[in-house]
Amino acid sequence: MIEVLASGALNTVQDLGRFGYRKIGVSVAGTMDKLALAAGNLLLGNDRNSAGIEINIFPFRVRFLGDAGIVITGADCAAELDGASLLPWWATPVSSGQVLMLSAPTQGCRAYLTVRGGINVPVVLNSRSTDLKAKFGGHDGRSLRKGDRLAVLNPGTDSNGWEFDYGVEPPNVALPFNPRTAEGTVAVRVIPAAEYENFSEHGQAKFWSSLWRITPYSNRQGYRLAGTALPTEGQVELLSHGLVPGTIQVPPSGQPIIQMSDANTSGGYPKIGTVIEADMWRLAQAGLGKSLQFVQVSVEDAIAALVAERAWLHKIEADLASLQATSKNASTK
Amino acid sequence: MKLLDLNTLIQWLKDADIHTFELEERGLSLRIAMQQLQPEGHRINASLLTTNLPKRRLHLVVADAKGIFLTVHSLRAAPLVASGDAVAVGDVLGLLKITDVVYKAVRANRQGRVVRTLAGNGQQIEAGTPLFELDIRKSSDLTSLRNKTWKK
Repeated sequence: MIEVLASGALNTVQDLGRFGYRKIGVSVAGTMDKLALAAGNLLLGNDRNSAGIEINIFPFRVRFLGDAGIVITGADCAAELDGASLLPWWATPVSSGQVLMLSAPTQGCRAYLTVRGGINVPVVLNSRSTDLKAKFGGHDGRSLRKGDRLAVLNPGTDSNGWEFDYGVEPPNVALPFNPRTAEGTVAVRVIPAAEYENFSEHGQAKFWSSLWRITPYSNRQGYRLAGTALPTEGQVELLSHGLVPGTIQVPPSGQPIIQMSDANTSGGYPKIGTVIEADMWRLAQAGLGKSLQFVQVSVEDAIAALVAERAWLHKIEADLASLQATSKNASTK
Repeated sequence: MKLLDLNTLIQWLKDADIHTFELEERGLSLRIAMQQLQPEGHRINASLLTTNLPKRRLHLVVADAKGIFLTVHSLRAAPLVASGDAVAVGDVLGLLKITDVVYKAVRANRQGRVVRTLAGNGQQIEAGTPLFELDIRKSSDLTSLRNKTWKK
């Protein structure tokens, strides 16, 4: 069991998402930074879809009411276990009674707490993710609060089952994408979407060349951006159609909206582009006030980036499996 | 006396809260006066010090696997340890990237103080390579030294 000692609104139980129900109006939900959750789970020998806690508001403090193994991924939030500093993206054994404290990150904005076995909340529509809009899934369909107790599947450190104390190289190093942009700007790759051609050449050029600031009216549902408004003359609102996380819409204000994990399942604003799936974690870690630059890529580039991301996760899984096997052989000798 | 020893000596003096230090040895004469000088009466007799000064005891922390040695975690700005840091058994001193994606920690196996880092950040190293030099004198050595010197 894990007891929440301090938490802000918007810290929720999430897995990788609830797929296959958009047709009945159910959002995908799931972690904003899917690489962070998946890598954390792999470090613990979990299925990469095991549920963890997404922490958007700090400080966040929990007490472990049983032995456990944990990893903190995503943004580095100077995690401390009973006051001792923990490495980020690192598997650490925890003893019953210990208190974990996460502080506001200076780089990135969301952290993930994964636990050996995974958080045990009921599976609803094939997922343990919290759907904040529809108020179901996760822990009682809501954000975590002080006093909440979360059960863990197959808890314990079970040294025969898994050796801790390995870390992984975070994706900012392992999967770099650093085109030349203004200092402090987050660059994400975008493929033009269905209505891209309806924008004037001037509007298209502006979309790529502008810096777009993430406004405070941004959340897990979508990022509202601010910059020099895109010209929208001649744009007509369309009949509602399906949306996916990553879709960039341009409402009549000319200020783009990017749909995120809790994206609406449909909408009618013209779509100028889609952030590629492999860069959604970069977007997830870009906090309020950050500036974004969109970099145009082809569908082939987007697929190649996704292949690289999957290869990275696969390598983590394979390398850890072989290290675990080696240490098991060594200990039985 | 090498420059390194001099730096270490200054660190000792700082730790032991000693403000003035004099030493005469084989024709070498040395006087170190720390900032924030204390009244003259606290001046330390060099002969007393040389007989009581505990010898530095060095311990090497070696790599237990081959890989790329890292002194800084990529998500953090500060190195994991710096010269002069006190470390306990199990503290992380550095990282080893042992596969394309996996890190292993280089941990202190003795309590002590980091004297220096023996390999560079990003250096490819073999198992058995010395990575850190720790001074493993007991801190009680320094405490007893301080007690003796202040008695004067």
